[in-house]
Amino acid sequence: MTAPPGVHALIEHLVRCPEERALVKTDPDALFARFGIGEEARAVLRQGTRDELSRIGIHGNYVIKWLIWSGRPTLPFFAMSHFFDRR
Amino acid sequence: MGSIVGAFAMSHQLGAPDGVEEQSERVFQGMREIGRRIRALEPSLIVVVTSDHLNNFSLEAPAPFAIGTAKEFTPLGDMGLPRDPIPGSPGFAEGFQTFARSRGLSVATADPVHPDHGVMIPLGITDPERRIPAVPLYVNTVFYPEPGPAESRRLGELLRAYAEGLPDDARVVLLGAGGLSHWVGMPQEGTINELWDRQFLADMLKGDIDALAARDNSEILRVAGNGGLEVNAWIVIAAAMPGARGEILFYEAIPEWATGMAGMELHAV
Repeated sequence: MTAPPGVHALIEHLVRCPEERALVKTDPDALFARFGIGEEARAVLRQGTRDELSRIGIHGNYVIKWLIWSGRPTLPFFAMSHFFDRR
Repeated sequence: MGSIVGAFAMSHQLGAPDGVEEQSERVFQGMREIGRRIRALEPSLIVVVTSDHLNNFSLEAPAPFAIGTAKEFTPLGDMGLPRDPIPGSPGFAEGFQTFARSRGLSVATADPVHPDHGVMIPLGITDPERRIPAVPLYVNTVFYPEPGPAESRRLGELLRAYAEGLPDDARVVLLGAGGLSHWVGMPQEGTINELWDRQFLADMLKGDIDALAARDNSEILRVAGNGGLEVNAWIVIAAAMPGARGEILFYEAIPEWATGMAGMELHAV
């Protein structure tokens, strides 16, 4: 299944431009408009679960990134220093 | 002449220790042991064979195989990983590209590249002081359906031939990274196919490259997940070590990390 038009381009843009990731929370419509994302996909991006994002064809690695930037990570954050301070 | 002085493979993920403290610690100590063994070999170069996670590559321009050719790499710093630079080896990387191309295998240039956790968890634990030159060799399984086990075998065979043909006395360590079974950003996330993991490890233990290379990406995807495809990096390592026997240093199925976690050394015989 192919992701709705513009969705992968949007997420790739945010990978390259981390300074714009805050817009995912503060003004997602500005991002959606810029990448020509349709209403149906917008609704899933705004509030969809991991499984709903996956079902519309978004690449798994992009599902994870989108959910992290949205403040809805699928796995808990942890301090890498727990491991790396003891290498 | 150059030589491969060691070959290892490990998962390239870590997760929250809360609630899985004992498993977490066994994994971490296993990774540290791999690091100790690699440093004891006094390598002049570590080739980290792994997949990127679409942090450095685009779905619009798939690069199933790619190699970092820079003199120095600044890590991406995802997952809170340190961003201190690591030395590269452009001579090795560009030479391998040319060598592979002349034998019909395309390995794209990854430059610029900021290695993500796929490189930096295993390498960061292996070489905490970041003194040993390292080359990321990408087996980008995020571009499913390619690259598959047969192509990965070919890459590993060429990697060995190239390393052994180096004119200097390079001491090369191969470090495969990724897997085992896991689903990333999919409904099955959190599922681990421990039986499949152990069967895969059994083939690695035996050094059964025919069985490993006969696997099929569509089957791996179905039973071990999109993250399970990362075992193609392990197949590269096995193909580069014909006849080697494996030693499992850790295996833990950790649903809380959504990954089957494993580490192994391949001993030349």
